[in-house]
Amino acid sequence: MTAPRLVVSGLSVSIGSAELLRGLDFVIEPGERLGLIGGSGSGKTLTALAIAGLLPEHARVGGSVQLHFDDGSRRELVGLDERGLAELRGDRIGMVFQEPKAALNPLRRLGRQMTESLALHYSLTRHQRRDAALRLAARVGLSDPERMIRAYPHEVSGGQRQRAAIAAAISANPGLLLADEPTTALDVTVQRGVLQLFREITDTDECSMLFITHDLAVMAEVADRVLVLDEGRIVEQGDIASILGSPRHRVTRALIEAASSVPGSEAHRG
Amino acid sequence: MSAAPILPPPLDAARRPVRSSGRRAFAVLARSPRGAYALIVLGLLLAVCLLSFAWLPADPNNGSAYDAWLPPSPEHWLGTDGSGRDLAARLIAGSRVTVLVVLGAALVSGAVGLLLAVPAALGPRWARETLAILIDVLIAFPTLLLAIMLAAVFGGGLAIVIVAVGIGYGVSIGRVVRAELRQVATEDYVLAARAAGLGRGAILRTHLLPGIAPVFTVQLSLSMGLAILAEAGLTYLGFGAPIGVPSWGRMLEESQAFIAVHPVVVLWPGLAITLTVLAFYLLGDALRDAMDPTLRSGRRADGGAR
Amino acid sequence: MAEAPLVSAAALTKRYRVPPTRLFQRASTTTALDGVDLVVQRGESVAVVGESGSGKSTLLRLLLGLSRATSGGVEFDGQPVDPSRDELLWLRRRSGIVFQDPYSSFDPRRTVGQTVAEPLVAIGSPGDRRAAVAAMLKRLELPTNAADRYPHEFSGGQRQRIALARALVHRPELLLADEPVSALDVLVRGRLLDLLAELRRELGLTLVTVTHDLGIVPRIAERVIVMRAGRAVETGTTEQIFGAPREAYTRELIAALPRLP
Repeated sequence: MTAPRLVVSGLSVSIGSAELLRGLDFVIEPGERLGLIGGSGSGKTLTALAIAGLLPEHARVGGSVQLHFDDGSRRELVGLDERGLAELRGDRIGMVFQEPKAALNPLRRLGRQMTESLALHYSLTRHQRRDAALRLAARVGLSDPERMIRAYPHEVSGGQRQRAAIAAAISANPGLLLADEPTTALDVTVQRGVLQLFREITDTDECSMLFITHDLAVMAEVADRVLVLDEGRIVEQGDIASILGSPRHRVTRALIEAASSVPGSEAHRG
Repeated sequence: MSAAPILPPPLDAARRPVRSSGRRAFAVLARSPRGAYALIVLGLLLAVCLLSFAWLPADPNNGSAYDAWLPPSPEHWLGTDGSGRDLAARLIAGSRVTVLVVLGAALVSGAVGLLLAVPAALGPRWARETLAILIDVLIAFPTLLLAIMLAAVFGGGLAIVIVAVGIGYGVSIGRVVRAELRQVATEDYVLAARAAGLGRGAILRTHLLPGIAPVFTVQLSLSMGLAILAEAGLTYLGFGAPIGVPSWGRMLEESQAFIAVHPVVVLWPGLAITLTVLAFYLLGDALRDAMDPTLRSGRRADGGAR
Repeated sequence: MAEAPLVSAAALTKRYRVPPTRLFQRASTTTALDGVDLVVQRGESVAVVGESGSGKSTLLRLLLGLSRATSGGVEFDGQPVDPSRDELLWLRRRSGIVFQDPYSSFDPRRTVGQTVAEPLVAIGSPGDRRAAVAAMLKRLELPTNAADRYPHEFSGGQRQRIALARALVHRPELLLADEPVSALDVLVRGRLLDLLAELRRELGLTLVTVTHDLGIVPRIAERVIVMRAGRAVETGTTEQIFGAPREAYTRELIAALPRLP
């Protein structure tokens, strides 16, 4: 089943008198990996929350966020009630956060948590659920899946927790994966593996991804196209090569500068 | 690494006037409905108590048998009790006992709580482990039983009530404050203070005690409410206020036997106790919110897990 | 004749008792640091690099005597650093530390001015503390009324600058930084690292930075120590480590760094 197309037009979010997102327009094609980058306070996380319908109650949302399915049907997410959103989350839209603790309950075993979405949207027998958990664990590269699905979050490493959280997000095969700084809290050697995992998951047309990070170098390893946000607006967008090769906006340039101090990278300036 | 806040700090922070945290807390307190109720009722209690030393509508301790069980009237605003004593006068005079018990219990339970909590949280390991066990054992001991035991040895009286309540609730306070102290002691800014060279006493004074102040104040206000109930109960059982001293508990005890015939007489002390205890509970609740410095002048970072 | 180092640690080891989780289990020990040697010359800037569990933060605390070593010793300017023997006020006077988390390293009940003045209060320094604090805040490009405000009113980058102000207000010789920019937005990191470099020159600081991010090392340090699981795996100058890493783990760390294509 092909992933839906995500069409965002005029998305704006205000809280109180503060306009935090000001009319965002962008599209995520099926199977695409779109990156969202910007400084803190630029509105990146807010965008993901707005798509998933997870904004705080007092936030006012304007504009439209639509899923276009390949059977021609459309689903408007802005203004959708909690019930409609709950149906979509997990099943059509998966989320991965920066801290796996946000997604993982410390009192439940990983196997159950990884298959939670699946069990919510489809009825499964105990055996089916266990099989699904084992397959998911293997898919996300958790070694020793038998042990992993029975483990509690605190018994495994940070990287393994994040992999379990990713498994939970993709378990029901959502067409859209929203990942908010998913590797920022991980050791750099672990981050490599997790980024590779994201690339594998989204390699087919069945899953698109919105990947949020503040590090352009990480972005370069994952995204096909990039949106640069500043103060709630998209200030530049384009495919990763042209963003890096000929940046136009000062924020883009600042981001490139900040990512270039690693020796050995071509853009390194001493 | 804790998560940065999703929302940026408020833009006008630079222009907002800076008030001291105490005054800010009071302002927040007075604005909330619970806080306003509590302040009004407790203010009234204090005012009535002070007033009672200067003036009473009638003699609270003496009455004529001919005046028994009179309904409210211009001479006796709330009527009279079975001995002909003016109920309004007794109620007003009784407020002195209430205030005395409340202040005494606050003092004793606060002191006991801190004296237990500080070594239990910060002392050497043998002290911490011994005190932890001690606190748990003492908490299991019913306050009422303690009061009766003390009364058996030392005789009854308000002092016994205050000491018993003070120890009983002090141990509870100690347990809560100990947990809070341990938590505050692990904060980064305490480590920073040690790295700056601040001694243990100074760290206690500047960081730890102010850090537990909200929790401590809430617990204290709760224990003050409970102290009133304890006094009423103990006086009822005969261990509290001596017979000659008017107190709300005494009024309850005396009128309880006649509740079927003269129910209204029970109403006045009952109402006074209920409203006052409620005020202390609500005060504690509202205080907790009012004393958080980050809840008002800006959004706090979602202080998260590392 | 080589000058005596400012900081030296020899065979530094730290073990923790792990309480038993079951009724009849024995307590086990976990080793956070396993025989680490370290030498820092006056005026140098050294980066201690390691991933989580490498022991780098433990090392920092032992260097400042905030924790007691299980075995091995630390010396500052020739004098032993042993928290069980003395108060170490002499060390506090000459050292400062910046923590990683700008959101929890300040007492939320105290103003910025009170927090920054804390080292001055602790060492009992004479003179006008308010002026010293104001000067430090100004040097760190913070607004003039910052001293009367509370920490939560500032952004992450500003708070780290406040943390720097606190660490340096008493003009120490040694500055220790525990992941100073890890919690900051990538756009803000550069400015903070530059500030750190400027202050190092102005105040003649010796700098020891602990970080998991190899990427910031070239901007901040001349020498690098790579740690893993409580041991020092490799040490060398920044050029050596990046240009010709000897150990496999070091090469792995360098290779794993995300790069712009």
